[in-house]
Amino acid sequence: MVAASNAAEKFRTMIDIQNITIQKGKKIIVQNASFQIQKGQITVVIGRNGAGKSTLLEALTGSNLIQSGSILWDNEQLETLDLKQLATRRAVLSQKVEITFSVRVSELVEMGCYACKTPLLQQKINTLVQHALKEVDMLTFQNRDFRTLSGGEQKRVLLAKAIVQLNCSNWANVNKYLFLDEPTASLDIEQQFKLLERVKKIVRRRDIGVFAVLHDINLAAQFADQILLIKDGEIIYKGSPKTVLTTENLQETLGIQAIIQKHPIYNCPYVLTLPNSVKVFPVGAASGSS
Amino acid sequence: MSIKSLLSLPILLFLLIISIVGAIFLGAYQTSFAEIGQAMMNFLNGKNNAITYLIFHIRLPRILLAGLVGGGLAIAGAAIQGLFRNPLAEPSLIGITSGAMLFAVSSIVLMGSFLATFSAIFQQATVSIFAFIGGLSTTYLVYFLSSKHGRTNVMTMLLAGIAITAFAAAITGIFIFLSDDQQLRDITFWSLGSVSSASWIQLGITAPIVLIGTFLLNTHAKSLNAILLGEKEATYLGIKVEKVKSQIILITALIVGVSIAMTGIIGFVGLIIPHFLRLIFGTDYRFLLKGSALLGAIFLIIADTLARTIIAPAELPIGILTALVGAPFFLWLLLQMQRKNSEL
Repeated sequence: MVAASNAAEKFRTMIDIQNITIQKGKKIIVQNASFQIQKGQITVVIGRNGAGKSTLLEALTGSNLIQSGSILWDNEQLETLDLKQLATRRAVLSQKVEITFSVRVSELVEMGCYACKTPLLQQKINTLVQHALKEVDMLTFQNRDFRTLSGGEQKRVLLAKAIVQLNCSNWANVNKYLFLDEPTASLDIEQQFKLLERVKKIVRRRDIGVFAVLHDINLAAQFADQILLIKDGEIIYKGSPKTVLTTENLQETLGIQAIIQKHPIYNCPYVLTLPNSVKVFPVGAASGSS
Repeated sequence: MSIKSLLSLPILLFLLIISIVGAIFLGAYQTSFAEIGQAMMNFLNGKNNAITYLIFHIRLPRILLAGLVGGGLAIAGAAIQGLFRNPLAEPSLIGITSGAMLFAVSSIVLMGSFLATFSAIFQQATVSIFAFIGGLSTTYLVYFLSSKHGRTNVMTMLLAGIAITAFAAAITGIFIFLSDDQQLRDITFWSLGSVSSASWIQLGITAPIVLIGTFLLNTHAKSLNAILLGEKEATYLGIKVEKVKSQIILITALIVGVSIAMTGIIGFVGLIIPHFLRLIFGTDYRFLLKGSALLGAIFLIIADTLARTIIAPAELPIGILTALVGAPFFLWLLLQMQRKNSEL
């Protein structure tokens, strides 16, 4: 029985991170991190600024950063995959993209197709682009200059590019991943929900694995299947939102007081956060507060 | 690529042919249809007379050289702007021009004394070779200085280019200080650029480098599009950014190096032609590179035709004309962009 469930687990695991350490110069950015990213699930990492979240994300996308440990993508060593192979298997939604020259939205989204190994017919490319733009509600913006869009609109266009990148090569026998670096930053509240709902829809439908850096604990609680709490480069807690999001854990990793309740609608943890300077808990409950 | 840009390529090609044909007719000696036809018959029959010589050994090589150099400089400018993600970048920023200038000037001054006995063609060839070597080696130095662990920082490269340019200009200044009056005149004319010395031999050297370079740059069009979003974004899309970078820098250095070697310094073509097209057609490099090559060729052929007709039988250095037209246009462009940005 144990062996069988292990085998099933192995099958579901897409990215297996084992004891990785990342050093930049003398500074250790990520230390001994181990976790798995599962098929059809969203893994969210939460931590303070400078805790190593973005570096961790970059390492997982294939940037050859790790000094020790290993990253396995579908049982293949990450280092053995070249840029082209990586590009057909994963897309990255960056935190920020700065462009000096004018680019039409449709042109930018079309660039997702550059990841494809075989050149596609223009008609097929157009279909992919239209479909992706429709999916993010940006079809009417397709002829606009990307630079004239608001931050939130730009994010949606970049998500469309990621969708095109994942859709342009075939899905058969290949697991695909999506990496999101603070995808909700600079979005209004409605768009924050919408973006993550879109991602969740794609994840469930296509069975892809998602790794995201998020700052909003409640969005993480609502959308994540697995949460990693990272502090000074070490992942100290990992698991489902219910098990990980506790008052003590959040105090330790984020240095805040948190009141955890049950979300009345989604049934996930609902976290009320307060700075340590506010006294709400009985003495001793909020350890480390001054 | 949009339909507008797809349609404009044949139009540009057509304009290029027209400008070549027009340039054959125009000059200090105005030729008629009959004369051209006669010259062509003579040329094909191997006969030679004054008009045949004028058309096929002076005017045509010169027009073709202007076209090659103009096209080469413009596509190099477009590629460098794309690589550096900077609208103000042009090949001279990474040291090609200043290095070529330094080496050319040093060869004029140092060798002038003991090469004086050799023929003018040999002297001119020496200057060309020196300019070519100077352009390439300076670019290599700038590239080398800004590379670390197989990665090249384009920002460092721009700054290193500025520093090296200043340094090369200072040494050039020393040579100019040491030169006599004749050499000074040679240096001045060289630095203003001219295609008047064009020959079939020069074309034979320039054409393969510019044409193959143009072809190779075009193979990087998609990579340049992706680099538009930043080097990291391009990497995510599977582009080998470092490889693209080193290849584009090498190709542009070769194209610009050979252009400067043959014609001296012709400014502004590499800067304004890509910008002009960008304003109208946007930044898709699959169009922009080809379009720049064609429009650059047209621009320089027209500029050269003007240079040799405005004050005929004398000639203006072509560099004066390109800057004379280029500088005001560039200022206008800057104002346009400013206005556009303030509207956002």
